[in-house]
Amino acid sequence: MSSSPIEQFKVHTIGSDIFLGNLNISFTNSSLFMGITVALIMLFFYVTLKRTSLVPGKLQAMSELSYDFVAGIAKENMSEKAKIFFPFVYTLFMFFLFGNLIGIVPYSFAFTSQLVITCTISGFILVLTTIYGIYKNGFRFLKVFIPSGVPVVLLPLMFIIEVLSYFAKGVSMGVRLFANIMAGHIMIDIFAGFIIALGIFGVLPFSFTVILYAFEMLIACLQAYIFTILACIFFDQAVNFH
Amino acid sequence: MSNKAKEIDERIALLKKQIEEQPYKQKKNSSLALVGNVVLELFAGIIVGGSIGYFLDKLFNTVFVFMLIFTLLGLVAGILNLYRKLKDL
Repeated sequence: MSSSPIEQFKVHTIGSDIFLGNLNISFTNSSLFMGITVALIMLFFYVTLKRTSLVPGKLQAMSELSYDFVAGIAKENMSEKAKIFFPFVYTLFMFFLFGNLIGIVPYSFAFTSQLVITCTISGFILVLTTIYGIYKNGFRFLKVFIPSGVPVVLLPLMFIIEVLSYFAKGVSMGVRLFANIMAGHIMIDIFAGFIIALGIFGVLPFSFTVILYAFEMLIACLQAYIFTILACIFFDQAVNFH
Repeated sequence: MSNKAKEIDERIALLKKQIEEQPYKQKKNSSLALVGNVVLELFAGIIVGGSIGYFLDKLFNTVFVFMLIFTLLGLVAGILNLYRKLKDL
């Protein structure tokens, strides 16, 4: 039993420390569960798409439904020109969906509850959008940072504020996923801690934990969905900025 | 039988045409604004502004000047993001 509800998020190295120059690239439990997630996703597609037919069976329908679902999100939030990002968006969705769902399995590790992981991915999306935007539109893309109809005197100030708000969008995207997953895990841990402590009355927190678990499953799917939508909106901005 | 197949073919063609004619329109992400945490936008702005200010302070060896300015600007940026989000509702 962990003594503190925060303890479950502790990252520890598996095996010995590996250094690349000054960079610590040791294999951690977080990396392990990311690897497991990727392996499971590949297994999922291997099993479901092993025998494909025109009329999909139950297994094939699972992966086709997931594809249709993400295709629907992409269609609603991205223009035709941004479709080049669809494979990445689909990968992102599956990665976070599986990662979040694996995270709520007891004794596993939720890597999406690590701010460094969620913010790295959202930062990567931010940089990718900016680079692609500049590549496609030239430096006209920087017009994103200059709102129209602003007096020249205020322009430098508005430019700084716009740049900050651009980066803040990326940060809020990463923090949203991280905070939701972490808060849910802490809540479950706290309520589960009461079960033994309350003796016979432990039935109450136990039933509450069961409900919370179902709720967490919803959150796990919902956050993957929201992250995907936000990524779509970002990518759409790279081609349609005005 | 072949008559029925023809009918189905026609229906498929019609539906395909309907799908293609549907223009892409920038959907106002209203559901997203509802789900999204309001405080988070402000928080993200302050964090981004504060951290940029912190590094500028370190760069120019000043104490707290840039951090203060950029935290305030970050707050403004957060409010701007929030305003845009709520405007789309």
